[in-house]
Amino acid sequence: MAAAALPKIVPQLERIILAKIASGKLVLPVMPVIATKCMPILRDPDYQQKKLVALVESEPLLAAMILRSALSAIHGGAVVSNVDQACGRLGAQTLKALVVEFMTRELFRSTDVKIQAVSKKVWEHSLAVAHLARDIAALTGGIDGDVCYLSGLLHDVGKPVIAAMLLDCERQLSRDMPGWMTPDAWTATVESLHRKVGVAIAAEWKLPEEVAAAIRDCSDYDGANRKSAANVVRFANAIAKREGFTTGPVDMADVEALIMVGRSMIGSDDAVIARLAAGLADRVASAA
Amino acid sequence: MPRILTVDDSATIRTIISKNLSELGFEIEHAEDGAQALGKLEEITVDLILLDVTMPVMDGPTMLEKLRATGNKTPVIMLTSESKRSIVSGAVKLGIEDYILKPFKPEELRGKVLKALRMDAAAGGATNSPADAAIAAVVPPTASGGAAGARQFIDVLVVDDMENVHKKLRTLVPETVSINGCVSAREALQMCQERVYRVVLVDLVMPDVNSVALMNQLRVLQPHAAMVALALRTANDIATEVKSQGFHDVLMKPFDVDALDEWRCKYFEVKDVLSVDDNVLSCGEFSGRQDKLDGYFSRLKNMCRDLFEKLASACYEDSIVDITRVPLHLEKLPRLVMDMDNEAKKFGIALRVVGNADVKKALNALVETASLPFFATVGEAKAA
Repeated sequence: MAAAALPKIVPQLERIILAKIASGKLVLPVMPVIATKCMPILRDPDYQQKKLVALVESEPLLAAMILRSALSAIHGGAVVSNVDQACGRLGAQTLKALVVEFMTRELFRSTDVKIQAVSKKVWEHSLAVAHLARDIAALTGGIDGDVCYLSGLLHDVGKPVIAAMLLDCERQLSRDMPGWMTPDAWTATVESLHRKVGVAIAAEWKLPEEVAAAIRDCSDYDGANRKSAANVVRFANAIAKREGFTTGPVDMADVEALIMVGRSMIGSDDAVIARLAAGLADRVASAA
Repeated sequence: MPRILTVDDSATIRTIISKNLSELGFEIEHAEDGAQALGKLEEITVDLILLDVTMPVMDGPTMLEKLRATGNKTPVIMLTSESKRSIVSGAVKLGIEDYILKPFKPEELRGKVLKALRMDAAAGGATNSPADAAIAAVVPPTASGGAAGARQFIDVLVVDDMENVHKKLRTLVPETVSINGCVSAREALQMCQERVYRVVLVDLVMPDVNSVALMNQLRVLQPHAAMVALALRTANDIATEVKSQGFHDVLMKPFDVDALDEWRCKYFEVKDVLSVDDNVLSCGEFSGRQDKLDGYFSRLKNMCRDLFEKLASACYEDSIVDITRVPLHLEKLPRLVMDMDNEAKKFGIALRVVGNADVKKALNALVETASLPFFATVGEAKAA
């Protein structure tokens, strides 16, 4: 994406958004209330299922997600008829992952067809990264799989937010400036800004620093902290791209380089990567 | 033996590489920078280059670019503390085989060197890392996620130039123990690339080959296999000697039935008794001597503990343990199940037990095990 090809309005837009982020004036999406209430219950070592069930039952979409997951083959496929049974079957760890998924998924929803198309790709890519990151963490040991999963889901969270902002601009400007932004310019704007917006969301949602680190930079590993969640997400991000879960044009030499470095940094090999990637498409499709 | 050129300005790194790779029997050449390496390559040919990035006079990427410009396609492994994507990506475009980040573990160096030197034979081959072993429990099986690149598991590889040794061993060991045999180092290396072995028996006197160097090479390909020396009976303390050389154990020729039975008990009885499929742990039967029964129960318990940890990492909340084939020892069996349940609980895993009516009767002896969910078949346990 050559910067020269961008219309003048793009850098202007970038400046406005960055200034708003710096001054704290950018309106960021809020964490769904239901998630803010569920997470403390699930983090409690003496997790009380009844409290959680009462909350979940007040949010039909989350309840439906939990019921669907409990009924799936991976959890035995046995019949569950209510949220209480479903929560009992899934357990705190799986429920935590589902709540994270629920709150993140909301950011990727849009009633606008254009944004929905972009968001769908980003969401599927994020799911692929999240699944891979959690598996890599489990295999490597000593890395929090939940943090890796959350970081994987959120590492591109700024993209749909920027996409929504651009659509808003388009609605305001298109009457006076038809064709104000080419698809390439649109992609370049999203790519150049999404990390900063993502970090701002992480701060707004008070997410752990490891998650913010994974959002902040996905292009180079942190050599000082080899087995960090952020490095796991970088590695997973590259594997996901090689497996076809991309959100835009990809330089395959870059992807291969990130996989090579990640293999050595985290301690993995080709066979492990092949096994991790096997069935990834099915897993993403069933979670999407 | 292949010749490897290591290009690094650090004498320490060159020494470490040299030490590790010489043990595998490779011939090592050195260069302190890219320019010196290019000069050396005008005089000699090598099979592999280990290349640092940051060096005085000429850095690694520049040397690689000049090397490729001459049409030289020698495999290159980048071995560096540089992890910047832009630099590694440039090297990828120039066709590097692999990358090792400093500081590195000797196993990583050895594994990647051997892989790079056998690109054709190793295509699609897997290394048997601990992560690979664990992965089956972590990644849920899918229709498309089968055995791409998976290798066949065999119990024993016998590396001995005398074929009658393979034949004799075959007659003395039960058919349940699978055995491969080969008569040369080349065949052994090939087989170790293609399959996974539990025990590799290496004759100490192989023609034209240093058996210790061969064993070290095989160990890189089979990091989890026990390396056992095959030696002729002698008055010397051969066991101590071979262990100091890196072997796990020694087996004397001609084979003694009792010693062989002991050896078999040590390596196979228990390891054969637990298989895992998804979250279902199936205990196999015990077929050894009665005095090994305690060891069987104790190792079964330990193996379950490790597996529960992996199941928990894979977000499983429950596990089915099929103990139908465990010996019906009225004291040891309930104790084993109770211990398993305690271990499972530590990882938040609920246990469901599968067994026949006799097993259920045995479990009723303890309050803790009598109350566990019990099923006649794995299918019923899954449906519950």
